[in-house]
Amino acid sequence: MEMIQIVGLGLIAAILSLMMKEQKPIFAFLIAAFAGITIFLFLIGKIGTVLETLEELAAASGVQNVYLKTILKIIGIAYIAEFGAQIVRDAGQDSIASKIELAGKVLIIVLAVPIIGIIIETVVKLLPA
Amino acid sequence: MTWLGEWLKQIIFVVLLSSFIEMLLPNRSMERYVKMVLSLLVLMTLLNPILKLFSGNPVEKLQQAIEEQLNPKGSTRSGLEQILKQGELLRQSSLEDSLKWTGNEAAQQMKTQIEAATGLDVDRVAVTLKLEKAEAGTNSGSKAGTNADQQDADTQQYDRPVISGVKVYLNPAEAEAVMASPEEKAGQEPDANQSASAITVPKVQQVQVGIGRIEIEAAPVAAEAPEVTQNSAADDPSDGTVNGSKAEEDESAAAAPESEETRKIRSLLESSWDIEDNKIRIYQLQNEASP
Repeated sequence: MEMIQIVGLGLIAAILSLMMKEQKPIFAFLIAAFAGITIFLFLIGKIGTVLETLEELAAASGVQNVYLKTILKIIGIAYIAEFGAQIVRDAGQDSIASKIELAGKVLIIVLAVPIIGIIIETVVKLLPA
Repeated sequence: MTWLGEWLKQIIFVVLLSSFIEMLLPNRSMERYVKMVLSLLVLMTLLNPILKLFSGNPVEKLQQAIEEQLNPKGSTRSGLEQILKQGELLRQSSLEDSLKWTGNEAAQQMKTQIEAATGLDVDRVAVTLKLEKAEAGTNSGSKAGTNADQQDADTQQYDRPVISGVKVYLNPAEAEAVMASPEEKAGQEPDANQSASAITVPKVQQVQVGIGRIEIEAAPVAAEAPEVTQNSAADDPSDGTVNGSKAEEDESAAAAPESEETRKIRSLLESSWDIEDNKIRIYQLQNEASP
């Protein structure tokens, strides 16, 4: 049922923005952005339950919380960067969209820096000085 | 073997989760980066037992580093704590200073008052101050000068300095001159002779004064916590200001016998300073030259 709602919302937004594109392109962009944000917010509630289950599973299997947190942050960054980039790309600003993607990539790599640091430290300790 | 089971569980979970997330990824452009981080995580999980062997707790370190990166407020929190600690130290030292100063002033005033009222030559007056807690106000009140009680005092909102003991030292020459009757004079000399054998007794009393706020006898813990004692130190500045050095004085000072003058001093201190009678100690300094 929810899927039908989302698809309906998307179809209506697409038709509206097509109609608007002739007269006012800026409103067409606004409609597209609004539809995207609405669907995104709609999904946040659903994601919450999934994340709770994942956290419970992680606690049960004895995985450190840090790993799960890192992984979830990666997904979050990837999705938000993708979403923003697509909206901007719809508006015809490809260069800004690629900057947003770059920012997402950099932030993902930043999450990896502490892990890399610890691994390298361990390797250095393992090797005889 | 439990660690092996845990380790395997962790590896399985992390691998499953990372493949799940690769599926979730929105498009190809992010894939390489995300894959790298995920594979690093799997590597960390694999290395976890070795990491445990070498450094204390890698997970904690990682957590700290990530927290610091994501919210830099965390780093300022420790700085704030440090500043608060320094402020606390400053407060304690100023509290000690003000207690010392108060003790000095009170001792000086008491000395002049006693001299004016009784005409006795007072060698010095020692005032022992302590902080009384605003809420409790019991024997467990904090003592100035020791660290432990300062921490106690931290939990209190308002601490009030209270005079917990007064020691009056009378100069021998004047005292003898004032004592008119030869009987009293004669009565005092045995005291002077006794003082050699009774050294230990005043010692005990003095230590008890240090803590016994109301009931002197019921203070066996006295030796644990010496208080800051301030002498007016008019004639003899080299005299000890802490109870620990009082032992030397005991050789030359014995508790003065009850007489008109001591009673006068007691009533004077009681009326003008509102000090309870059992907190006042009057000592007669023994003159080396006297027989």
